[in-house]
Order: sequence, then C-alpha cells, then structure tokens
Amino acid sequence: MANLKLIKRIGANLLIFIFLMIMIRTHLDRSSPLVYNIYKPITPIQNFFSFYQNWSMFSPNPSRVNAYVDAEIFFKSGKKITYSFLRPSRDELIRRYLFGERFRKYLAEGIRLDGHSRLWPATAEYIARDIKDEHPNEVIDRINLQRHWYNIPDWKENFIPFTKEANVPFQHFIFYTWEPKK
Amino acid sequence: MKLAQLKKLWNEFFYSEVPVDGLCYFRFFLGLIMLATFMQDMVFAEFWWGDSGIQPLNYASAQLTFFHLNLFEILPNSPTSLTILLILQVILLIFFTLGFKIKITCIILLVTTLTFHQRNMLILNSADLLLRLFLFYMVFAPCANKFSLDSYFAKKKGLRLKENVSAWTLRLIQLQISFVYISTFIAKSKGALWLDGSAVYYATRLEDLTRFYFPIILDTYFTIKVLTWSTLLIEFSLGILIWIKEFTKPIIIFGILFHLGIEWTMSIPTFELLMIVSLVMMLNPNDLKNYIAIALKKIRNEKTLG
Repeated sequence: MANLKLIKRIGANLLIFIFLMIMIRTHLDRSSPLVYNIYKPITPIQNFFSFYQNWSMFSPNPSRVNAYVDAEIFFKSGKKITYSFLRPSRDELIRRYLFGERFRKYLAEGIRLDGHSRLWPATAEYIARDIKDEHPNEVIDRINLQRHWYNIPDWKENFIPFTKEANVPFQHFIFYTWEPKK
Repeated sequence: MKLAQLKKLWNEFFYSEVPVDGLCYFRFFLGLIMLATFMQDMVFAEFWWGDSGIQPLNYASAQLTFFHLNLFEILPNSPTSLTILLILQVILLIFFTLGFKIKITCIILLVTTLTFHQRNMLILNSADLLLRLFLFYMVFAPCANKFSLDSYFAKKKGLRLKENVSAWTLRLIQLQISFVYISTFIAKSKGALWLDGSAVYYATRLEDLTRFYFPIILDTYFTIKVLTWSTLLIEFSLGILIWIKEFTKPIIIFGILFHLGIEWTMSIPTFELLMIVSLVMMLNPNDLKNYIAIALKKIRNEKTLG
C-alpha cells in the first residue's frame, strides 16, 4: 500500500515536472542546442498531444491586416464566376460568432499565406467539386485563388471608428492558379 | 532555504488535501463548453474533417510528421467513419459533462479530441489548445466524485467517493491558467503597439473579429490607451498577483469583467467563456466549495418556490 502511494507520488511529480517544462518552453531560445537536448525526451510527448503552449494572440503586436480569400473560376465557355467562402465580417452576427473564427483561421491566417502553399491545390480542388452541381454543363478552364487585403492605417493619420467600415481600398493578388488535369 | 524546506513547500502546495468540489464544478462546465464548441463545428463537419472537404486526409496526415494516434488514419477513409466519430465524440462529451465512467470516458475523449484537432490543425485556436490541456489534466483528477452520475450510482450502492483529495491536479490546472496570462503578458510586453497604447485600436479594427458596438470607449485615443495598458496590467495580475491571497478575489472579478468586455466587443467564441470558468478555479478550494454549496442551495430553493 505504502509502495503504491510512493509510485503514485513519483508519477505525479514526474507529470508536474514535464508540464512545467512544457509551459516554459515557448519562452526559451529555440535555436539553442542546450534547450534542444534538454527537451529531447519531452518533445515526443509534446508532439503527440500537440501541447504547443503558444499563447500569442494579438502579440507581440495585433495584426494590422484585414484580409480574405476567394476564387475566380473561369469556364471553357468563357464564363467567369467568383467563389466566396464564409467571410465573417460580411456574414450575419450569429453565423459570424458561431462559425466565423474557424473560417478566419483557415483562410485569412492559413491558406492566404505562402507558408501553406501545399494546401492550395486541395483548396482549388474542393472549389471545383463544390460548384459542379451548380454548373453541371460547364467545364472548368482554371481557378485562381485570390487574396484581398488592406493594412489598417496608422490611427493618427486615419482613425477608423469602431464597427464602422474603413474607407480603405482592398488590394488583390492571385497567388495560385489551378488547372484541371487533362 | 534548505532542501527539506523546499520539499515541504512543494508537498504542501501539490499534495495537501483539498475539497473535490472545485474539480467537479470544472468538469461540468468544461464539458458544457466542449460540447457547445463541438456542436458548432459539427455544422461544417464534412467541410473541415471530411475527405471531400477543404483538407483531404492525405494533406492533414502529411503535417503529422511525429508519432501520433489519429483515428481518421486507422478507420476507413469514408463519410461513415466521420459520422461514427462525430456520434462517438458527442456521446463522450455528454458522459464527461455528466461524470459517467469518468476515467475511461476521459481517456477515450482525449484520443477522439486529439483525432479531430489533428485532422485539421489550421482551424484551431488557443481555446482548443486549452481545452485539450485541461482534458488531459482531468484524466488524472477525481473530477466525478461529486455532481456526477458516478457519485449518484456509488451512493445508490452505499459507497461514498472521497470528498477531499490530493491537490496536485487542481494545482496543475491553476498553474496552467496562471501561465496563460504570464505567457501572453511576456509576449505582449515586447510589442511596440502595446507599449505605445494603440494595440487595442488595431485589434478592434480587425473586421472579422468585431462584434457588438461599445459606445465611446473604443473611439477615443485616451480610452483606447487606458484599455491597452490596463490589458497588460490585468494580464500580469491574473498571472502573478492572483497567487497572493488578499488579491485573489478582486483580481478574479477584474478578470471576469475583462473577459466579458472582450466577449462583448470581439467575435472570439469559446476562449473568453473558458477563461471565465477557469478563473473560478483560482479561488481557495475551501472557499470554492462554500460558494458552490451556496449556489446549489439557491438553485434548490428557487426550484422549490417555483
């Protein structure tokens, strides 16, 4: 009985120690070989559970970019349509609250960035599948994934009142073009 | 300080006996929040997690370069598997909230939650990470000794589950909550916009995140600067000063008001609610037990009057 209690205590201490280590990891120098070696035994556990303790929303500075992603679809017939995902800022309040954040994370903070370019073909392929029923007689020529953004101007130069639309034009850039396999 | 003293302090902090009520309260509300969040995500289940969705399984799996356990990779890659996992997750979340077969429920729920989270990591935010961490801590916590089906069935059998337990899981949860604030405070204190007082302005001008209008306060330089700097002060207090007994309660009240303010003005679901529920865990466990008893008594009285 006493042995079981001791084993439990050792186990609990070990777990506490590991989690304290995981907590402070974000604030240590990631490039340091010393840190790398100290964390070597813990890394597989951290990866397995994806316990990356990075509490960095709005830090070190909040983003100053309003952005969204959509797609231009060109059909062989010469017709062109625009494909839009759920865009939180343009959706009704309840949908924005319940579903908007996932779309913002995936598209505006994910797909939009070059770091996630490996997902661009999958995004275009999804769009191609999704519009098939609406345009059964059309053949897709190409799909352009497009990012739209504007930088929030310096507050001293152009103060935007809260919840009012900014009078700043969006910039556009086609970051990926997909063509169906022949 | 001598090693023996340090050991004594460590043992007092982590292994003194505390009432189990706080952990049981936390399990119930954590379960409700997880269930609500999952129900929201289920509306777009096929889109986020299905193989015909935005991120087919092979793309998601390519990201998981480390040893992992993802049920989507084990089950056949089909809509039926997704449906089975969705139903399983909802059942587990209900079991967890109600405290039914808690140990096995917690373990399986951790696996299924990981499965969904690692199926599409790009949609995740801080709330998902915190929920996953808390769920992990709950695996080791006697969190269904009260206010649960487990305790109800035990009572029927004439058994009494422990009302006082070792504090270590509760302390781990408290340290985690405190660390979230310390960490975000450290990260923000390196940002020029937080230091010059304009950060709240830019954060609240992100179109996708705005919610309800707040008169005047977010529209003048002075109030925005006050809000920016008080955010740093509140986060520092919630991380560090909250551990000082005399400050705990007022800081929790400020913390709750702070999160309610964000909840009103910004469209960030789950996180604010989760932090409000979590902050209550920072109370002294004996105080928390008394507050829960008072709240339950009030609810019962209202029911009787009703």
